[in-house]
Amino acid sequence: MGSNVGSMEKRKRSLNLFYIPAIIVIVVFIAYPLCNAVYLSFFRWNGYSSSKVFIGVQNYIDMFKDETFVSALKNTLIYGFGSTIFQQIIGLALAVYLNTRFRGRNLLRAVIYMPAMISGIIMGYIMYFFFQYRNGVVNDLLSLVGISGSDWLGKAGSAIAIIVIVNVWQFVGVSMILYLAGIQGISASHLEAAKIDGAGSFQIFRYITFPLLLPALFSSVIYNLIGGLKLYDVIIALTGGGPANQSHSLATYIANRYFDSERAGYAAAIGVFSFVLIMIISMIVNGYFNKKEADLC
Amino acid sequence: MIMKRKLISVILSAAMASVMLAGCSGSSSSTSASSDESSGEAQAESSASSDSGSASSGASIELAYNLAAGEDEFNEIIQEWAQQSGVTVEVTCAGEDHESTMKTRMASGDLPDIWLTHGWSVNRYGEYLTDLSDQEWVADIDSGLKDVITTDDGEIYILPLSQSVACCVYNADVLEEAGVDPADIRTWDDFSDACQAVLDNTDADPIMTSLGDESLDSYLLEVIWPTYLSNSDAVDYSADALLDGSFDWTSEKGKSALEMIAGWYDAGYFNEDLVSCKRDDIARVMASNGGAFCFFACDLSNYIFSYNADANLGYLPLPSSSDDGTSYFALGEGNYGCFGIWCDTKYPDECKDLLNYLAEPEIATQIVKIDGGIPAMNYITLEEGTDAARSYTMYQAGVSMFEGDISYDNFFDREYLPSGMWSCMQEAVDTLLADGNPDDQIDNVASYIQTQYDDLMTN
Repeated sequence: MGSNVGSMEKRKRSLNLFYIPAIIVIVVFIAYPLCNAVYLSFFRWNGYSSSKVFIGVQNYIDMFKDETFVSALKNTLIYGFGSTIFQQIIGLALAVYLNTRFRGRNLLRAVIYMPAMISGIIMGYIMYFFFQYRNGVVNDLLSLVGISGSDWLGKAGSAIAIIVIVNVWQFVGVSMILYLAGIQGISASHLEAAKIDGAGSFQIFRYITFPLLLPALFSSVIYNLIGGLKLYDVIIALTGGGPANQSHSLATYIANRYFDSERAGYAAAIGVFSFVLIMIISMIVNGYFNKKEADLC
Repeated sequence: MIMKRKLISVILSAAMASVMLAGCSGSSSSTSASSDESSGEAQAESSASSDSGSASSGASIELAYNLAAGEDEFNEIIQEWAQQSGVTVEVTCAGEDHESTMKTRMASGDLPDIWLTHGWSVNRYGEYLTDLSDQEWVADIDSGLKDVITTDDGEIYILPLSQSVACCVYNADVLEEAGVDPADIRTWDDFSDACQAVLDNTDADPIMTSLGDESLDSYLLEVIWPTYLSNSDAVDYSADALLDGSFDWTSEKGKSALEMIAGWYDAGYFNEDLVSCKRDDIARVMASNGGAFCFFACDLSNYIFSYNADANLGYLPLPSSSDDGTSYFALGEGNYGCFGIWCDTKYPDECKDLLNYLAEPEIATQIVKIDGGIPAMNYITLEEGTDAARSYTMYQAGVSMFEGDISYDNFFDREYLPSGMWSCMQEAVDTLLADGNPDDQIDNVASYIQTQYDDLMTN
């Protein structure tokens, strides 16, 4: 008995060695950059010079006085939550529809998922050709029916809406796949029992399918939310943060401050803020879904 | 048995770690390999030749290049030298990210042995570069450019093969249709009259610009500011205040360029899609006679020619702010043809040998052709029909059109503004024009410029 416990302990210890590569990766690519960003956020530094000036929390104070930062923060929340809400609604509807049997179902699933395989920067440029003022697809179609075109990407409101639409369209396939996997994992006996008890299609969805999809909903919400909050490439390709910095997300604004404006310390402060923001939002969402799952059990 | 498991687990852990580390290093070396298969072969051959007993055996140089479209051609030129010398040369090309890449490499103290300085050999990269003023080819540098790239101590940090010219690119067909002779545009008032004529007599937009491009918006200030503030005949001459950081951007002098741009906007001279269009859109419109003027560097004409090789273009020197002033061309290092050597390179002699090779007339001519800019060495002659030859011809035509009434200086931001102001200039123009009410934004924009200027002066 005693020797069995001892050998299990030793085995555990040897298995712990397998953590080492993952720990190295986390330390090198996450922990060190994060600590370095916190350190840099207390300095005035142009991003390349050998000299830095310690300025305490001045970068954090400047941040909340900076109108572009406030606008980028607001946009980040719109990109994060706006995209996530639409991706869940459309993704779930598509999953329910594509779970029924019909000809061409697999092809349609592949077509809807396909945009997720394209890089964001390419997707951004493709969509730019749709929405550009001169010779853009949307304006050309409108002109066919006698409506004059608009500079869709030249106004802050429409530019932000287009970025959300493009992000939703690109990643709705991921939500669809997650929900589809969740739906297919629901035991047929649950559904049959509900039918025998006289439940209609909506009641089956409301009381059986949807609650059992909570794990899929959780994965999909977290994936889309973090993706939306970190949105970068689509914005760069579509608007470059314009017009007049009004469509920046925190991610694009950090890159802009660091590389273009040479305010690396300030960019680091925004980066630290962004990290804390995403962490808090993820923790709240995580806690909410854990509670929901516990309630179901 | 337990020992065996332990051993296996240690070996597996080590293998996983080494695979990951190999993956990291592999991505670095594959940059040059994947960029050009033939160059990879050439590198292999050059390494082989170095093994066979060359003088520079074992030397390995990294060269950071920035023109993605010309990378293959440039690589061939470099690998030819690598084969001859036995030195391995790895050409890395970050394209449009070259500037950001160089900033991060400066921060980490790990610079390439040779890199393109894209206009910043003195102000930004000077402290990291080797003085090359004793090289033979220095005597052949175009005299106007030589003044710009020489420090107060007489040091020259680059081999300049091409130079860039900031100017007003115009479509001669549009101007002809509007009844405007470019030779008559001597002052900004003349320029406004020309814009009005284009607006009244053609379907073209008088001034093409883009707030959706990283440079076109900044160029508006880049070309107007010197004519008001730093040229010797400028009405608000303030070069000394600009250099010592005491210039007041919120004063009337500081706001003059913003007021002029706002006036052009109010008069309807800008293209309707200025807020969202990109450089390609501008080039396409200029190529199809849809626009008359565009402020940029001379490389813009190559974009336009890519849409219409027969476009009838010209380079107009920038008008003066005063009635009796001279027109002005901003001259600076070319973006894709000026090379500097890292002062801490392990192979200074090999790097200088490579630059001497690039400075050879035949090779230098090839580099300028790839760059498409204006030759910076007096001995470079270009064949008709190439982009570079066309750029040079247009530049010469602009010079002769205003002969005796033209001045030259470095690019304004490189000479008079702290590094990092380019982005501020971009944001200033964007804020001024984006909401369609520029007159109300002038004070706000001037204050923003002042804040950024003060901040960057302390960097």
